[in-house]
Amino acid sequence: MAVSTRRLTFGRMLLTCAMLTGVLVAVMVLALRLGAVPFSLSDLAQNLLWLASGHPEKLSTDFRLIMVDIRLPRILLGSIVGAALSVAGASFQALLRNPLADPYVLGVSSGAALGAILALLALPALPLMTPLAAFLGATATIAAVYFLGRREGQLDSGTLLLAGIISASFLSAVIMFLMMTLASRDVRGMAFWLMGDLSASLPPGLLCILVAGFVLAAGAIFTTASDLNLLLAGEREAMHLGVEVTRVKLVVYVSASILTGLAVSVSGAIGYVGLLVPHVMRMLFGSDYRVLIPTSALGGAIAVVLADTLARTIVAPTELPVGAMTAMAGAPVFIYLLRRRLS
Amino acid sequence: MQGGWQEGTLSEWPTFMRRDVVGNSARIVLLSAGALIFAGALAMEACARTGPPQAEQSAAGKSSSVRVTDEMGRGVTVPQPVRRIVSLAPSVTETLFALGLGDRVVGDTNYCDYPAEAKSKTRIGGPVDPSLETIAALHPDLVVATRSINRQSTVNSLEHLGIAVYATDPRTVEQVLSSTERLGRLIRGGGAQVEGTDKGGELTAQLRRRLGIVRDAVAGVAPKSVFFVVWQEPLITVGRNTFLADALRWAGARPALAPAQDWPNVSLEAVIRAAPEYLIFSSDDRAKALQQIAGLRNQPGWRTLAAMRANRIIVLPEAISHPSPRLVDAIEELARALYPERFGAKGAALAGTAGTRGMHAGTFAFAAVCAQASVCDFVGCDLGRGWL
Repeated sequence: MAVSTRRLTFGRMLLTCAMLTGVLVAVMVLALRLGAVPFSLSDLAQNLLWLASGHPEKLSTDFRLIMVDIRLPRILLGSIVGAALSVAGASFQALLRNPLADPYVLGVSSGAALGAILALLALPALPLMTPLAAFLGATATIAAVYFLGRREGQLDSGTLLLAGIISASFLSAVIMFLMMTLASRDVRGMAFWLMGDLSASLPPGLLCILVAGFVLAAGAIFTTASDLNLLLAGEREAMHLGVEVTRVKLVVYVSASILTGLAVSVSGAIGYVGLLVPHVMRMLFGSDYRVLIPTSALGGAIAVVLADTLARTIVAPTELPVGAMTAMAGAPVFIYLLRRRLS
Repeated sequence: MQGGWQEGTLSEWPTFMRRDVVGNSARIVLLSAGALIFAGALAMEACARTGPPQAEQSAAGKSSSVRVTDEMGRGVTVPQPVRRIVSLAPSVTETLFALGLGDRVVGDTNYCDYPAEAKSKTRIGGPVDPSLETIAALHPDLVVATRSINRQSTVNSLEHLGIAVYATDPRTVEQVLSSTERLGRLIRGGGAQVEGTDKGGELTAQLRRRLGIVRDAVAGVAPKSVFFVVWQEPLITVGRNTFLADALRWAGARPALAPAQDWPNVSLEAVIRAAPEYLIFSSDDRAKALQQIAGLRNQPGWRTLAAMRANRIIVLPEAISHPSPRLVDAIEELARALYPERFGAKGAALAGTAGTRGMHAGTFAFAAVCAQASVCDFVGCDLGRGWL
């Protein structure tokens, strides 16, 4: 690849990010244009201009209802969820020095789903309770996996990954048990939730919390990027080079858990994004974490917005779960890139 | 580590990214503070933007509206008069048409196929995966959902969008009727009082008369034990707290197995031990159903069932699985099939109307969607099957 011989500078990183941001904006415009209810491009441009220039009163009722209240928030939600999952995936891969690490593999998604189900059973009336409980479930799982994964006081990659996989299957079994045995009917909505679903419209306050949480946690991970580069060479080596290994690992671990908890709590478990996007970005831009973190965030946003647009449109008005799309579209792309790199 | 860029000279990176200049904690605090300010500004901006339109919406609301409590206990403000209705379930669509409100229905689900006019309405997707955009674009005054098939999150989302959603939740035959009545009253704007000329009141009065005839006919019989097959693979039957179990009771039948879950998976062993007198299947394609039953007859387990050997098998129209006024037709049909002597008629259940879709199709589509998804190979599908 042409870029591989060049030095990574801050300017080049910014250029790469700007390029990806351009792609993201293009994808978002495409996603805004497509949907169960058609809008012409000129109509879209006109209304968006009014919206941007602060004349919301000029918007047509349909545009406000469908674009501003449904489609735009969904696209924004999709991009944040995608970015969060990808950054979390990239971080877990560095922490565990294991290419298979991913929020889903580590059992975080199952923990979040279990939390949400318990909230639905205990306090069905409170609307914000479900995402909150999902978030708590995610962080509790991460904590449990973290402690299970320690061996003689050291965080052991293999043990941790195993602990994650075991937790994931245990929690899924508990969820299945609850669903099959409880007489309550409202648990069944979880099925959609377990495979990733962006169709729910969220109150604007929640979207704000989500954005704030994402910026904070992803920012914290970004500050450790150069340490992560050294960590990839090995913990002992990194320690010799002056990295405060324990602290960096803790910061990245907590931040990645927050990112995963936020994403899963609003959209359910969208698989493959956290695993695939960082790998694709590595193939395109190299494995330096200073460029990998921001490009993963942008790439994840692009991937999920694209996948959700497909999920919304291919059999409209019926909507497919976005998780089905990410899995179906993501795997072939991954194989293509892998083959190309090998040849 | 493959390809990628090489490390730049230190001076080319901003200070906060340089390990040699700024310590870990300092960098984190620095960036966190920056991020917090940014996020705060963003949040305030977003909230300021989304605030006014909502207030506007509620202020500019319809000229008149009524506040009612739906069957899930949610308070709903329904604009009056209700001219445009979106139905989120086949049973709801049937009920609305039976109430004579079919012309006010502007959208329904892909599975709404009764009556035939229902198929020509704008389709909003499936009951579990409707398109919010399509619903919003129809500008409904009211969306009617039902708890047994729709998702809570759909109801919540529509609520956020400022669309009135009324949810029904009938658990008994009587509740199907009273729910029908209430829906008719709500939409026709009669308030709390049932008027004499009210079509809803008229319809349910007539249905109650017919149910009374069935009740009188089966009065004093020892209920016959039946096993209702909701789904064959895996074997799913009706739970005791469903309208379907109640419908069976009305027809003088007693579910041989009636667990507490609504649509439980049961083992064939339990069915054999309970030894039901009759097996009940539901299908609108009678020939196909009989063919399937013939296939079951030779299977181990099934062939030992006394009801199977004696051919005490009843095929009911799919209407039995819809909590709508047509449920009464199905109850009559079942009662006649179980107690032909009490009705002085030919007995055996008649083939229903054409079309094999309906809720089963919905269940099936859902299971298919589940099967595609990576996560749900082992969680979602069992759940999907559990539905009706």
